[in-house]
Amino acid sequence: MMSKKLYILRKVALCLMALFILPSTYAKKKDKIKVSVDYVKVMGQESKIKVEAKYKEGKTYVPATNVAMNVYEMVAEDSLVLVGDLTTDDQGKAEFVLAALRQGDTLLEYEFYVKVEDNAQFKDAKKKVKFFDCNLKTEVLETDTLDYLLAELTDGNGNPIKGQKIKVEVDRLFAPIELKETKTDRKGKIEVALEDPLPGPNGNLVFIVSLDARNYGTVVSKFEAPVGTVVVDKSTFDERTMWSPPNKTPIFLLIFPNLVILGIWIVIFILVRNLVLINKSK
Amino acid sequence: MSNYQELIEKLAPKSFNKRGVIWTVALCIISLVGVLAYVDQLIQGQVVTNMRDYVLWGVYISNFVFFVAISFVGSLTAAILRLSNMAWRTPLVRIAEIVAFSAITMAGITIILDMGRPDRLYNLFIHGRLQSPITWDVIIIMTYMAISLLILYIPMLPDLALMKKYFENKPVLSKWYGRLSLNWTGSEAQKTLRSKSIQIVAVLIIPVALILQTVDAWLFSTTFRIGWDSTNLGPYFISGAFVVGVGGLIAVVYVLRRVYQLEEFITERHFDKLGKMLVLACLIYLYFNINEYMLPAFTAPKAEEAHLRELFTGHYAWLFWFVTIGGLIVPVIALMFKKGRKPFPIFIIALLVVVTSWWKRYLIVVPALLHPFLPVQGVPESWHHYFPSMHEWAIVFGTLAMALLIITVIVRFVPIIPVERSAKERGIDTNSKNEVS
Repeated sequence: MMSKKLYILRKVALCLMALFILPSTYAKKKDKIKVSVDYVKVMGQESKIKVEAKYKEGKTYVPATNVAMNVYEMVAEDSLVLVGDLTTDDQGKAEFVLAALRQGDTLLEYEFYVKVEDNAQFKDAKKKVKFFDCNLKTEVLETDTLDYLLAELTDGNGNPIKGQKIKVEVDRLFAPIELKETKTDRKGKIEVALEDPLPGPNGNLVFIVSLDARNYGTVVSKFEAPVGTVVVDKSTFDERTMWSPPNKTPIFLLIFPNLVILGIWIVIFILVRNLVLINKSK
Repeated sequence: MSNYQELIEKLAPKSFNKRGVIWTVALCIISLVGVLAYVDQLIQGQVVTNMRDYVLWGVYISNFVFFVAISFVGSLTAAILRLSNMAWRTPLVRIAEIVAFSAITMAGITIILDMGRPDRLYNLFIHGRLQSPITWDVIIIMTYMAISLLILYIPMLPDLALMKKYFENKPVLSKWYGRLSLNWTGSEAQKTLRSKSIQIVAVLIIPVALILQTVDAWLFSTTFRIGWDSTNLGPYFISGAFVVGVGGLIAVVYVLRRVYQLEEFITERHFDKLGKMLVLACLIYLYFNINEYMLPAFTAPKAEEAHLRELFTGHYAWLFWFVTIGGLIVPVIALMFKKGRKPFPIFIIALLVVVTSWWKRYLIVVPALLHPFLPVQGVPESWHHYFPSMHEWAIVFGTLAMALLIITVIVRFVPIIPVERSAKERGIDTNSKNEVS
């Protein structure tokens, strides 16, 4: 009787194990996702939070695609408010547009969290980005002797920010050309002399002035100024060249090779004519 | 039987014996395999080859250059020997002209084999650019083909008339000989026209042959590619063509002499003279090889250095030294001695020269493509190297077999040694030329 009871108990225990433990044993282990977050402000456009997510597959990191994330803002010391959500694209990247930043009496430090929550593939994760708002004003000053690029960095209340590294570049097709990287002075300003003339379409150059600082995120000012040298189109499209289409063959090539070919083939036809004459004469 | 009739009997084309039939059938089979491989290539596309983005010219182009090179000296030797009126040339010129014609015909066919869409060949003529070396190449190959045919055919007229009489017991064959002989009767008017035509074509073929080889070289040297971008390439190709042409001529002359028992006409003296020509050609080519490789090795621009290292000590080293030593130095040394210029030894050396010359063209084309200016990266591993696929080999061997088949068919029906001229040189009376038994 006892042994029969033990037997039944053993069977029930095994069934319960199969029902609860085994599935969890064989349940897929969630991957650890790595999220990087950056605050980017382009002057004259909306500010964004740029997110990039990846995870380790084998020995390499691969983009975490199609991952939904929530964006929260810390509005009080411990009060997180959901402001929106985003989903990563096929490169594991996403952008969250910040419509407008909160304003306060004093300089506010903004704190945003991007969280991965309840994802089937990945463990929960979060990443924080903190920044102060700032503005980057840029202009080009043209003088008789030299042109200057001027930039002024101020905080959200209009106060100058000193000691921040600002990079000045000229936008090009494949990659920008760096002109100078310098720190703002006490007045939050920099001045870059545009000494070497750079060519630009119709004499226009597109400048990229950027600040990449821990406290302020990435702030970019992109603008166009007519301070470049005019690009003279050296197109040979309308010329007769060795690389042009057949209707623009160089004249010397039309004359001499054709003369040679014609001369040789006239001789060949004379020889064939001689054969005909041989055939006709007896 | 008169001496003249005996001469005709010896030199008239003969039916194939058993070996001839086996030889012809074997060539037909190899050619057919090549044709089938080509049809498969047309259906599946050039993916059946091992050419890819980097090695976009492979063994088809090296084979094409080989054929163009061989065609050169056939006609050039014949023309120069004709113009210089050297008596010993008589038994050799027609063979040289046959080899030249066969080679240039196969060169024209071989280049089409390399085209992925040969059905669009007409675009080359409709939209051709006169600035392009490829257009020059197309024009000069067609021109040279026409001239090669004329220099083969015009001197043959009296012999074709002889064959018409000789094969009177074979009416169909006799009729064809008659047609091809253009009613040749040996009248003064016909002789004058023929003589002038031969003079003209013999002079004309020399610059055309030089242009052909030079334009062939310019297909490569008008690019900026390492190994090809060289002002030396024109004369380099001409001298190389001389080497392979004389080598090929010697090989064919030896075989035909053996098969048709022409020892009386093609003597050891002929091999001796051809051997000396080959030595001279090899020495000139060796000079151009030194120019071609030593100067970049001396100045050693980085890209050139990688290419030369591959040839001298790298992946292609064994082939490079085999071609250079076996194809140039060994022939020069061996042929310096009179014993080396005997028929059989010179035949072996000629075969070695032809084989190494074929691989030389391969070395010109392929290694340079594997060393582009930008490094080969981000592509499948198979694109980093090249060796012809089975399809390519089948097609190449098919073209080589077809070239030999053309020669075989021509010598089957045409006297390979000019009969009338041979008779004149031997002082045989040819007045009874119409009375052939």
